[in-house]
Amino acid sequence: MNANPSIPEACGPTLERIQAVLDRIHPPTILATDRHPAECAACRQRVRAARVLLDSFANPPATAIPAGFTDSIVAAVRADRRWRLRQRFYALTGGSLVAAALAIVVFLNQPKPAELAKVASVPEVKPQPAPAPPLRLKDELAKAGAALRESSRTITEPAASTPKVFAALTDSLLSASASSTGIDLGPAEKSLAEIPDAARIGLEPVTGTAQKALNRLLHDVSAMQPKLKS
Amino acid sequence: MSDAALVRRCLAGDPVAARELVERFQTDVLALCTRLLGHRHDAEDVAQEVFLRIFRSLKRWDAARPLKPWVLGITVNRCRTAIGKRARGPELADYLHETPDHRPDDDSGELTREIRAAVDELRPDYRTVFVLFHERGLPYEEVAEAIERPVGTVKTWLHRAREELLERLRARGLVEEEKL
Repeated sequence: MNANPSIPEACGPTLERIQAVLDRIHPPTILATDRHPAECAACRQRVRAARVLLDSFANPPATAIPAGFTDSIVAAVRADRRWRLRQRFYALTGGSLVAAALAIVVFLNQPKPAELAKVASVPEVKPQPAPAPPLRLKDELAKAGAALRESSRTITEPAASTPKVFAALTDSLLSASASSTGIDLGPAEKSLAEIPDAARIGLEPVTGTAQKALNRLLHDVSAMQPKLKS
Repeated sequence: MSDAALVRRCLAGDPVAARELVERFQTDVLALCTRLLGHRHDAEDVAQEVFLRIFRSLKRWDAARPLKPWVLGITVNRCRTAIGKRARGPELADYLHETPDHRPDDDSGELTREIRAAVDELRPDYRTVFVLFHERGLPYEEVAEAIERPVGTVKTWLHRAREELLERLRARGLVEEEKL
């Protein structure tokens, strides 16, 4: 069935024949066997147009190869091949040089065995203990006073019993000063340490020594100025 | 020698095979360049580029397929690139002087010249399929492979190219009455 309604049905076979010839499915001689163009002016013109095209295609223009064209192409191909080989060689050489330079840099930057041993001997950092609560001098003195008051024996009793009494008095203060408080307690600690020693030595009546040491302690504490550590 | 054997020898660096490959396809390549570019000197330059591209890409050629459409496909692509460059660049005075028209020098007969001129006026896609099919004698399948389009597209473009061509010929009084 003809797809174009403006073309009569009778022209269909002629059109198909022309198309087949143009597509090189049939030889041009097949157009001469068709009777329809003799009766149809439109198809006569179609066949004539097809012949015009076919005649021009029958003798395609001969392409003359210019002299030396083949040689110039072959020479260009060889030159291009040599150039690409050179480029590849340069790329490989450059890459190798860069790799060698990198290897040398890495080798020179490697740590020496002595440094490695030093690194290996570094002690492991232990976690820091939780900081002690801040020292309150008033509280510590109050504890020492309470211990003194709670003593069942008077301070004037024989010297054999005095070290226990003074130990109870000084221990709490010494233990407190040992912690990191940020306050310089050196003078107070010195005074505290002298109290039990003096009591043990017993060169004079305990009452006088203890009284002097206590007075000295109170004096040192009152003269002490807290100083923050950096 | 078959195409596959020739390509193998070229890849092995055989200079005789390289020359044989150039000789086998130089006529088709140069003719197509001349028809698509319309300028002989440009065509020779582009043809040389085409062969350089062919030798660089030989490794990628599929030996299971024919070599000629592959070669002509590269040719079409290089011609498209050259046409694109020409469109972007300034037109040179000597170029215009050398090419008063686009007709090849070896044509004979007014009708043939008119048809060639009409083909030159077709849009590039139509002109390419027309030249490959009618002038270089490639079948539809190889034209399709060369321009990397389906066969149906090639047939459509070819049909439109013929209609346009006949329309132009009719306008010049070479074909009378209604078009094909």
